[in-house]
Amino acid sequence: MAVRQADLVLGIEVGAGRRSLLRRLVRLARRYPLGVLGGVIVLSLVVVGAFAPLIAPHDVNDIGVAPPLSGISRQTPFGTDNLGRDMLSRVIWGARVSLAVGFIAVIGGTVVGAVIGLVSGYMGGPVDSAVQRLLDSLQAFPALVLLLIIIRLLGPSLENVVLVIGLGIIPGVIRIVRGAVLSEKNNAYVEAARAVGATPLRIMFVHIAPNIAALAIVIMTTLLGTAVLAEAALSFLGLGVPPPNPSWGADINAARTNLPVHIPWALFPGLAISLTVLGFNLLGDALRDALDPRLRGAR
Amino acid sequence: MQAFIARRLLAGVVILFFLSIAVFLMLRVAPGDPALLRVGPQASAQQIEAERERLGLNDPLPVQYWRWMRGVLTGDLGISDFNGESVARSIRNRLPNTLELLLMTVVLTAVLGITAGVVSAVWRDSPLDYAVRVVAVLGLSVPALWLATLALLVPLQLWGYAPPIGRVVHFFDDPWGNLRQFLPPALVLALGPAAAIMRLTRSSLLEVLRQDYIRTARAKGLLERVVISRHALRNAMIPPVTVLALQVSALLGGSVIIEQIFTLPGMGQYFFQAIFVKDYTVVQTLTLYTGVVVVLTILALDIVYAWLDPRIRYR
Repeated sequence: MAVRQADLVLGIEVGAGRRSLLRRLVRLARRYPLGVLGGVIVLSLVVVGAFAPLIAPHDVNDIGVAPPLSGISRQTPFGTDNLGRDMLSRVIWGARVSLAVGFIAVIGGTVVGAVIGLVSGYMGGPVDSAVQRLLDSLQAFPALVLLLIIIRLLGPSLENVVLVIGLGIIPGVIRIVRGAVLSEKNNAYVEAARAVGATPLRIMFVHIAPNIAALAIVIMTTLLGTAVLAEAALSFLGLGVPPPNPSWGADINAARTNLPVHIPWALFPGLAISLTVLGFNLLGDALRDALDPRLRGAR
Repeated sequence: MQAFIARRLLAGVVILFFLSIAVFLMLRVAPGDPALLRVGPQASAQQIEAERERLGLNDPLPVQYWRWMRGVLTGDLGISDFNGESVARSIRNRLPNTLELLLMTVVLTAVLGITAGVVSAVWRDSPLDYAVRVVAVLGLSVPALWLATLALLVPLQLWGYAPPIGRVVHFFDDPWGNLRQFLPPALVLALGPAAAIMRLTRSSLLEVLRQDYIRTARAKGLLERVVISRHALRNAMIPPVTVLALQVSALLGGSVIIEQIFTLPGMGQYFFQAIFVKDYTVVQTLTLYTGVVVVLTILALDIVYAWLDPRIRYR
């Protein structure tokens, strides 16, 4: 951040122009090969999810694609479940559901959390103390327990799953953003903006917000992994995305509770979850190291 | 120190008070009538009304809250709305199982996470370091519910083996049977937190090893082993210990899933069943129990801080 302000003061624009941006990206990619791997994983999954109807060989709920509980074969690379539904297609469609839930919940939750954190951190005073006390109380509460209670009361639906996961990530975002704002607001540029008569609203959203944007991107990447895990957990417990939507978590649960044991049924949805979360974690780690050293080792 | 503990306890009580009000209101404001769930969709209006009356749902909210709180404070936790069993007795039967699971998990998390983190920091950039870091990033990505499912299904498929399920084998009756029952779920539950602790220990220790007093210690000619164990570790332990304590809250959430999968009759399973049937009495009381566990853990954390770092003074 210090560098960026110095650049601002001298009036030099750094990183302008597409060529140098490209060069910077290549340099970053060389420094963080694992981050590139994470990015590739995430991007592939997004493509798979977005084009699920074109990629998946069968419909999610086509029964009798092959005999029930088929093993790994050329027709059914991931086997079939107890109704003879193609697990490969279910895993592909599952990516769509899982990522959609994750992205919407995380973007919504981060925006709300960041705004509250920004206002709370910048304003200080009684508002800030009230928010902090509320967060302390929430911390005495395992997130999953909170999600389970709310979703049970609202009833499981796609919208409610997004809602509770979004709500669940808000406290953490507030805490991190508030911390960043507290250190950011002591900078000279905030003082300068105040001196020329900028309103608090303008200082918060025009001056400070861009400087914590990098931080927000890092948080969001890591939270996406968390959100995918949370969706899987809710669906696994039967309180997540309801059928006929496919869900990796729900499929693992079905494989667990139905006899006879059929390993591929449980194996592939779990691999899909792991791969997705791994992608977000690798990408998040690299982004954190590259964009925001403040967060190093924060998890 | 005593004054500090007293003040923190008081703050904890305040937090628990707000928590109790929040969960109490949440359960009552939300749509869905537990009485209706109890008597079934075919019930007449009178039957539903009678059930509401029996559950005390027709009383004003402050009366309901007071009845619950008075019970909690006097140790009378009431009976389950659902099956009429004494909540206190259910907790007495289940709490030891969850505590054993959590204790094992926390010990495994600390031992695995801190050892791996120290190894990885001391032999930085060695193949061992890379191996540990790969395992850690995988540990953060692989969902516990999937590992737990595979831990049950794979041995069952391959060898027809299943751990003792449903009833609990007590440690003092049959230590081996008890471990067969508790160790797999504890290991699965510990993996994610251990990975987080490992990463934190590694970065924290590397940070400390860069400091001047470590150079001084080395310059004095101390053995590297002594420098690490006597000088560096204690300072490096503060962030991992913090996260370990905060993980307890997450573990309580995780135990809901893991107890469900391994059919361990513990608090997590109890909580999940209560949520499913909207058993208000049990859900609100168990929520409060969760809050108590977390508040006490955070207090314990502050005390450990003071021991780890004598510079930290509480007033």
